Amino acid sequence: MKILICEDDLMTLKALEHKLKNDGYETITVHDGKQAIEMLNTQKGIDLLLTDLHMPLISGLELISHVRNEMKSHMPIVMLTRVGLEDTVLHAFELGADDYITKPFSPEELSLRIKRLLLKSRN
Amino acid sequence: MMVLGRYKCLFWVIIFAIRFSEIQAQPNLDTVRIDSLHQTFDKENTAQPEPMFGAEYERILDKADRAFKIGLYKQAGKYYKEAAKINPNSIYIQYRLKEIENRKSNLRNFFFYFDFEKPDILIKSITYLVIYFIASMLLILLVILIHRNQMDSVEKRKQVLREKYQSLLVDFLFSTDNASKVPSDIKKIASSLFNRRILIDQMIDLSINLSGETKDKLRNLFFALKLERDSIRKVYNRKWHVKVKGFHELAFMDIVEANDQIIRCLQSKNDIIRMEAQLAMVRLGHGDSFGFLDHLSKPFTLWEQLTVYETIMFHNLPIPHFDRWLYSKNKTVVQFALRMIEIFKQREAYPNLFWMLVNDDNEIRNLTIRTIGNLKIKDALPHLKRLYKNETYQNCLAIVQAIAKMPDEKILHFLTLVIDKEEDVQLQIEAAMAINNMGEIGRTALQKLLNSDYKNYQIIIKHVLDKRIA
Repeated sequence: MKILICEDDLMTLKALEHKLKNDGYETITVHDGKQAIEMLNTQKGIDLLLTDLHMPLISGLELISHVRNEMKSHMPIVMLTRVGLEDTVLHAFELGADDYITKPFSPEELSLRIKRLLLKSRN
Repeated sequence: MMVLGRYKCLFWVIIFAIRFSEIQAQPNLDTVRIDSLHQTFDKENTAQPEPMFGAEYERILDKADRAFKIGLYKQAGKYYKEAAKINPNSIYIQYRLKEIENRKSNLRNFFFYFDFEKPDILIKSITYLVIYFIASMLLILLVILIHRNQMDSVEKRKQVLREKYQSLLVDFLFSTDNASKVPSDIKKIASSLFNRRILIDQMIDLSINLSGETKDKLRNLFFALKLERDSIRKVYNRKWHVKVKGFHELAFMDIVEANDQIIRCLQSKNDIIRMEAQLAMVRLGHGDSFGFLDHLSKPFTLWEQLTVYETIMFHNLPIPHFDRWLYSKNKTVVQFALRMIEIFKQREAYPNLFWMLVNDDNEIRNLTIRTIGNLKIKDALPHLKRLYKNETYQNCLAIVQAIAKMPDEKILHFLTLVIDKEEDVQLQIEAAMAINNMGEIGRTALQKLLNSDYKNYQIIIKHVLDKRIA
């Protein structure tokens, strides 16, 4: 299973990468939405997108919109967001996101959510 | 100015050129050997040949001629005068001395008469100052260059260490090994102060976005490496930015040992220290996150209130009963409590809110009226009605607006009186809107007022009843 992680905070990116690798997933990491789009266009077989909502160049919302509307992909999308951004989260759900987790987050919880989504998409 | 400067330079270049050409154009006088002149003069005075005055005389005369040639007229004059003492009858010397006087008095020479042999105090001082400033400038440039290089190298070193520590920490946090055992690599880092600072920064960065077991593991590592000592030391530091960093570290790692010192900082004159101390205490309050409000004697600014509120929301902290602070001596704390009561919809605070309606402070009364209105506490309606008569204009407006938010037929008569008796249009509009909010009964009442032909408030009622505006 291949997961694309898009997060501008390097420390969080490293933590996410490490955790998901420990869980047995293959990971690709990028720092912004632009790189994520490039990666989605070049890399085949990405099973899940884990993205932060606030990023430079192209935001998480734009990235989700691109995946759903331009690429017409149905891959599960999990958002990482901050507390108090309920409107943004609702907008992301409208655009086609599948789940979200708020920072500060528990890596264990994130791992379970990803597992559940991947199982659901496989079925 | 630039053009003027150029012309000035040009002027000086021309003057120098003239001066140089003048010197060059006097070969007859300046380059003619003394002997030939002597001979010329001697020929004219054959009757009295000039005696030989010895080597000393010749030497002085040579010096005088050299000085004259290069334009050092003062020195030349001095030597000629010395020579004249030995040979007072020399026509040549007299001629030279006369020529020196002529040149000195000449306007062009006036500009070019530099006495470099004996510079006066001003020239000396300026020269030394110029040398001093150039030397200082070079020294400062050197210091800046060295300092910048040092900073660059330190930053590069920090970057390398940051990446290294990030990997070490992430490896440790997500490894399945014994969590209580601190890896030797990390232990080694903690032995150096420089490395420890970077390690703490990385741990705090990581703790911001993590929660649950992983965060606990990180916190345990912080304690195992005894890094809390560094953070506590920072809180006692005199520099404000170090102090604030200490607050952050303690708050994120949930260390309460320095709470007393943080509480003392709540009264700091420095706004940033005060605000950061408040935020730290919200996190470190442990069941009494807002206990710091009891100690706050300085004004609790709107920005600070907003930041504290954001912290509560971000960290999902327990919400206390804010009516506890309604009797605080600090007016800004009371205002904060009122705002929080409204935001967290603590309607049970009404018995205490009621007393705030008769508070001496006008602003507190105003905020209380608004809070009651937003919480829609109908029990307060009779009290609001009673207060109206003696309140300020702003508070009267707030009362009518609050009443509008909790429509009640019992208050219809009062609102009709406001429209009828008040002369202020804003109050009349607000009262009419409050009546309109009552539904059918209100609209009927307004229609009735509209039909009465002896008052001029019809236009207000028409405005309120206009569905396009609503």
